[in-house]
Amino acid sequence: MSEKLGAFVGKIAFVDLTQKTVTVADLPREWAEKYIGGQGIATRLCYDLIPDDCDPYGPENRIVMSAGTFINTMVPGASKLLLNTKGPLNRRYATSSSGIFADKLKAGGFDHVVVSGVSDRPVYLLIDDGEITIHDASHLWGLDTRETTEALWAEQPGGSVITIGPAGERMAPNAIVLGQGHSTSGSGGLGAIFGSKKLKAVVARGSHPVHLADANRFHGLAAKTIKDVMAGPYVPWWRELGTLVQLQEFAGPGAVERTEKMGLDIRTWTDIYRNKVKDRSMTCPGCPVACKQQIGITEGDHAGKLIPMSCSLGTLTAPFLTGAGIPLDHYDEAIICAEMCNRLGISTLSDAISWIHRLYEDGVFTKEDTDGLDLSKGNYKDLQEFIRQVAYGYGFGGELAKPFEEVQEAYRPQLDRYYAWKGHVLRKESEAEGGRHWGKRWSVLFFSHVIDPRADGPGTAYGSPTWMPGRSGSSLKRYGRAIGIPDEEIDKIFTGETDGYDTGLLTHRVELYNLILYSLGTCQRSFISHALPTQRIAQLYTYGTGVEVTQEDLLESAERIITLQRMFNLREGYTRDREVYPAGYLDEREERELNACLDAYYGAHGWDIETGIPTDETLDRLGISRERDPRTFEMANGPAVSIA
Amino acid sequence: MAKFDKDVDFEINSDACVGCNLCMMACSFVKHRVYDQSIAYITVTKDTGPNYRPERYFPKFEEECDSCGFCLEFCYFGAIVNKQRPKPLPELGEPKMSKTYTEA
Repeated sequence: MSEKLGAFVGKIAFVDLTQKTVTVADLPREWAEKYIGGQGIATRLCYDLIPDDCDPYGPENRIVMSAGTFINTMVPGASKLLLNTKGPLNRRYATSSSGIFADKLKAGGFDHVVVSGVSDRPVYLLIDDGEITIHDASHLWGLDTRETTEALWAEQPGGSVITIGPAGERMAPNAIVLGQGHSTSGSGGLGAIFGSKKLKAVVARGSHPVHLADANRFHGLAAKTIKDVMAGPYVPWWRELGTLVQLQEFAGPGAVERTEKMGLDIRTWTDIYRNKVKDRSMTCPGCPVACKQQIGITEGDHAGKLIPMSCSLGTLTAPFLTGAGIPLDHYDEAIICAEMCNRLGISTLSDAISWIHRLYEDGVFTKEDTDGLDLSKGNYKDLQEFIRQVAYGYGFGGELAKPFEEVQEAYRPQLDRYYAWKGHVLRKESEAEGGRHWGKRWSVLFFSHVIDPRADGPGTAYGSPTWMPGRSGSSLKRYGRAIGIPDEEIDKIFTGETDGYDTGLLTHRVELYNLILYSLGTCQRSFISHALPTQRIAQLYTYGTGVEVTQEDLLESAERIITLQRMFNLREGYTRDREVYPAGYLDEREERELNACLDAYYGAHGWDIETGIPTDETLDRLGISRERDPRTFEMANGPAVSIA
Repeated sequence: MAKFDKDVDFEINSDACVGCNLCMMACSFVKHRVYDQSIAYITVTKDTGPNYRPERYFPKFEEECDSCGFCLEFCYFGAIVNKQRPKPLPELGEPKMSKTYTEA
């Protein structure tokens, strides 16, 4: 085993935007051994460096930008950038991933860059072959994400750009960060934290190589993994349709009907998408599949516009063609809405933009409240004005671009019938009619919304095949073995029937597996992850880094990571009593079933069942302390160099 | 040892390139046993100039390229093509309802 770690760059930078200084430290080998990389080490950094009582918008909050262990290797789909912070919506551990920029961050000479402080003027960071410099961004402040990206491409040739738009600048809590003009870090409100630090953008470039402990074996296995990915039967469809695949008939029983229930004729939309909308496929670095799309509008008022988009389902279809009900004969206007959100830097899925139509339809908001905007379903013109208001913070839309608890407070009593939950809105009646859940009431997907430690609200969950109900017992068991569930647990978790699994126990396992992927920097989509069972990951990790690990070691590290995220949230008061739904939202049976899931889930993690707090025994087993590790603070406060 | 003559046997089809960069990584591995796109003998540049057409990439063989053909193995988009033995692109079949966790 070589002393120097393979695969990692081995450097962490700490940038202080108040002092305009940078400290560079060596990545401790112990962290690679205990936290895998990327997400794992970012969690350690956030836990040790972000004070519990700090204002998310204040100088003490941190943004941790992380490139996982396998970034810039030929493990397919190893391209994910992880942005971590204390979230503005509900002060919990927030993390958001996107497929762009991590390659250049690592080639720029760092595994992690930690940003603290608040700049006195708008700035952007340049990470350039091991050097970090701060540049004035006054000329970029106010520009949208596309304009900023193009300006920085010209200013810093060869750079990869992540930036915020006007929404982030004014700290809208659901502001996003956009990579290379299309790749969304959409959840967690990261854009608002960038804005609070007056950090308009980060540009990275460089040519740092990735050395591997056993290059031949690593490459051999990575190349085999690429072949296995490309042999997947749905790869061509992912390339053709992107995330819209998840609404097709072949995605599982009921997929089409569910979409129809939401008011969208998915067959017609798929035809339009393939024949009139899609211009070309786009990919993340290192991915042979290419599930992102460049959209080209070919007819109507917007003919000729080319718009890159990373998620045809989440960014475009779900909020605008279903939620906002834009009819298919105006599909181009739905595309424009999505493009506006990306350019202005605001989330489409977890913002007033996603729920305003339901509340307007319910009649709780009228034209009197909206200053004349008609926000009935399908009225795209007024919706586009509303999006501008949310992003720029004026008018009625500006009033609503807040955590839902605050909106509810401002509009009592008309919003009393809704439930505020983790900064978002729930409405009992409509959700029960359709859309609140499908298949099993507490599937892994819907149970995850309750317990996922990441800050975003009802939409947050790690991927697993259980998203699509109707999975056969044998396929579920196969998945279980692939993600490293030991034989003795398999029969405890899976009954062998279709959709037959214990939700609490399986959710625990799904989290561990996905945290391994997040720490390596690989994509979690099924077409990649099916070729990355934990056994293979352990081999790749050993060949790549030179640290010999087994799948059990990786799973224990993942347990360590999620327990640390849990403890981060505990500081903000998130114990079991904050993880249930608001009183009255669930019926008695749902409540009882949820409690059974929670018992099983906490038990599987080794957290106290009554409170959800990790027990002393669990912490001892994982080798973590309730206290911050002072060595991290010392590392971050080592000799600093001025970079003003 | 050159197996091919790149000017005769290979064709670059820029329009098909999506910038996955696997060819550059493969090249640096086979020549230097390291993943380092900056020393690859094939380069892929992204068009970011004025009036750029979004998402255009330009692969190009550099002088040092000895036509070993290793990069070809990892192009799944038809951007680098062996004219004698073109690799078929993934085709849309008729998908059946998924049975295993591997799909969709």
